[in-house]
Amino acid sequence: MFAFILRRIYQSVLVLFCVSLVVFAILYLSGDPIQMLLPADASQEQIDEMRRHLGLDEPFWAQYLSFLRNALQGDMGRSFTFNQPAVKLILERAPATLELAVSAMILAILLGIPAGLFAAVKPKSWLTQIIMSGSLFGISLPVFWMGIMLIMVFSVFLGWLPSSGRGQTASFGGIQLGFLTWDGCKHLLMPAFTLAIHQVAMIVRLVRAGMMEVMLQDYIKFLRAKGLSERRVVLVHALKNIMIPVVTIIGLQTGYTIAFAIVTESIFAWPGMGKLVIDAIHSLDRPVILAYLLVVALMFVFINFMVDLTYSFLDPRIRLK
Amino acid sequence: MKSAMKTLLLILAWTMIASPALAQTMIHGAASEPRALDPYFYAETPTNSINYNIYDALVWYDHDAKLIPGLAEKWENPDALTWLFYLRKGVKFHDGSDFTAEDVVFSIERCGSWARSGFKDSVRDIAKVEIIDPYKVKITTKAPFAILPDMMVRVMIMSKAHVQKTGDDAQATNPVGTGAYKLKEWIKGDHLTLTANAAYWRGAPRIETVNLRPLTNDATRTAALISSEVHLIDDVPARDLDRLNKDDRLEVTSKPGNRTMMLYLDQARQNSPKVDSPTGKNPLQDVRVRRAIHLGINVEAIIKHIMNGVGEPATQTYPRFIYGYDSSITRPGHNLQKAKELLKEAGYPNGFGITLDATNDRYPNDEQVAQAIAADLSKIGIKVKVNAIPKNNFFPMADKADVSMAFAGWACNPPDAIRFLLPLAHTYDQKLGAGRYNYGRYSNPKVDALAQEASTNMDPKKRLEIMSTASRLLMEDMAFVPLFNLVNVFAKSKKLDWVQRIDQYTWYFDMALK
Repeated sequence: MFAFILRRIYQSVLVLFCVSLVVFAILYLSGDPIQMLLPADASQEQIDEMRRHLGLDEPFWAQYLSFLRNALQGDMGRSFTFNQPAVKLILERAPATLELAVSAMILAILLGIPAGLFAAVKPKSWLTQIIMSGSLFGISLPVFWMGIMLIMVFSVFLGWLPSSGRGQTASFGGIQLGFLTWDGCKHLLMPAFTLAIHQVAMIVRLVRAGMMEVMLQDYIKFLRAKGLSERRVVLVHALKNIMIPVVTIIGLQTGYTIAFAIVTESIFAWPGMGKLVIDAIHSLDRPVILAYLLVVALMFVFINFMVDLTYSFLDPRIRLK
Repeated sequence: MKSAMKTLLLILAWTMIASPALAQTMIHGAASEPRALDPYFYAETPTNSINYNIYDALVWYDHDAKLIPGLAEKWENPDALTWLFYLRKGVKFHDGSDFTAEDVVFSIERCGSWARSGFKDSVRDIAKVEIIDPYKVKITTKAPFAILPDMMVRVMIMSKAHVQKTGDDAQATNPVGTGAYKLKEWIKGDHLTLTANAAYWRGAPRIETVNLRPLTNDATRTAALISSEVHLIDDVPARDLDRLNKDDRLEVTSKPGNRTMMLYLDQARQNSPKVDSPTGKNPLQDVRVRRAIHLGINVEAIIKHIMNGVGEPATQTYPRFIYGYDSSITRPGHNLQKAKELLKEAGYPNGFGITLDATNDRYPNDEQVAQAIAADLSKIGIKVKVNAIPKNNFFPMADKADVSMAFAGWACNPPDAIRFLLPLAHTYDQKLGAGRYNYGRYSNPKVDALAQEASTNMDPKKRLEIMSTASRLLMEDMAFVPLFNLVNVFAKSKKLDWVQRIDQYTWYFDMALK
């Protein structure tokens, strides 16, 4: 177990190093950040002074090495555009994105797994027809369209829910969380639903397909022959056997929702990392982009680790080596 | 379990009591969030706008960009190089300390010397700042510098004691000014809350609390205004104008800004890099060709169909409230016949080929406008290939003058034509620092002389005359092809009382809620 964790850390450091080099090179090639840091009418003198101050006049390798030297000491630098430590900017925004992504995934699991099971067990029901055609919509509708439609219906016409923002937050262990307050919950509902809709559809289809396959297998027949209730057959024995691919997809999709929450964040003016990073990419704000990649990479490592742990719980034959 | 439920209910009840909005809170849905509350960090409208609510400068503008006193009650220049500023007495910073000449000297020095200052240019012409007495400051400039009071608008006054105590980098999030509002809290990406400074020297602001919410998505911003979640939105998307105009609870206001969109034409080189000329020469060196381009572009149609009506045809290289604008210059209409004749006279009856470089992420609809220009010019035989690229690549390329025809905009800030004449119209001269943004390398010694005279002449009337002459010369030479001025559009609830400013700043001191 311990060796397993150590190897994971070692692998992720290697990945981070490669990622930082590639990203640094891409950013270096994609334009001059000075344009973004000074007013459009800046004099040549001012431009030269700023370039020197930020070390942007040095060759590529010198810039990369000095970045690496600082990064190894835990200093990712100050944001070019906000003049605040890049890591601080990211960590300030991370709880909002995580809250949104986790709520969306919980929503997706709570809706997706029962709906998928139902569709597999009762394939002829009218509800199954609705679930399956609904999931087709869920997979094909663009997120931004969904989001804007929800805002139009629930905020502009009905006036039930706030259109944007995070609303009131409450502090929990120093972290600001929205779902602890009623106002925060109201703000969270539409963005979480928008982000979840695609994942629900995915989980429904996966659970249904897996379930239909498993239900035909011999051990299910055997369980039924033994006289187990249908409920126990489906919810305990069959479900556990289809969970490995489902957990894998949920893990991958959690990472995906964190990294791609940007569209939802932008529609609902959700103060998460996505917006910050897109702006940083536009303005070539190198410290923020690199700090973001570091944080997200660490998150992915953590999620994958959790997925592996869940595997060994679901299938005792799998051992963490 | 029971007690847990009780606690939960209590928490819920508490949050419901606490959440109703306080009386007199104005909510501003902004298209862009400020970058830093350090007033010298980065010069752009959304950042400056919020900072002018927190800080004051010695001098300030009214709605129509006319100079009015700020922290200085009055100022005078006894000789061409010397300026005396008489400071207001009894003004206090947000932390309760007194505002004195010390703070002015400190601010001007920090503006020019802090390594991350984005405002160094604002004080570059100043040689020396001295304290005469605690409420009198003497500024000496390196050369006669007529627009010094305008430049002092850009230098917001910081508290010397506060900056020295908390350090340079802390100012980004911990501002202390003398302005009408104090920072209460800033949760980046979500909201920035200001509360009224009751002891403000202009009088207490009428709105108690201002909440700035960054709503960067256009559709969301409009929806928030329609659903009454915000009182004011800026940068209103043109496609939503109809809908907002129809709503009788709302009001749309617009004013031309200080940015003029135009074409930069390469006039210096015998062989321009991106021209395919039948004669082998650079056709843009001929004023008749430049005039043909001016006449050949249907600016009215571009404003109507591409800009959704949000723009006004430009008569010259800056809009009318810029000091130095010449109101006698009129815009010739779109005239294909005349344009073709001019091209023929110049020896290009069948036109020529050229690449039009433009941005695709800098100005409203920039790429589409460039395409429309290309389509218009093809009607007079000029075959234009549009190369629309991100601003990060466009500007470094334009800086190297690696363009033959470029579409971009320029804003005079301060609103004085000298801010066009020196950086754009003057001959490119690295030593002088002039012509820095003269991408077409236009050069006319007469214009150079006028620009230099206008920058050192101290008599406002004389300056206006000099700069108007320069404006006319630029149009005679068709040095740049002015197309249209951008118009700034805001939309607000009718409950909000406010007159839009030309400089686009949302100065909450001016606002009231009915």
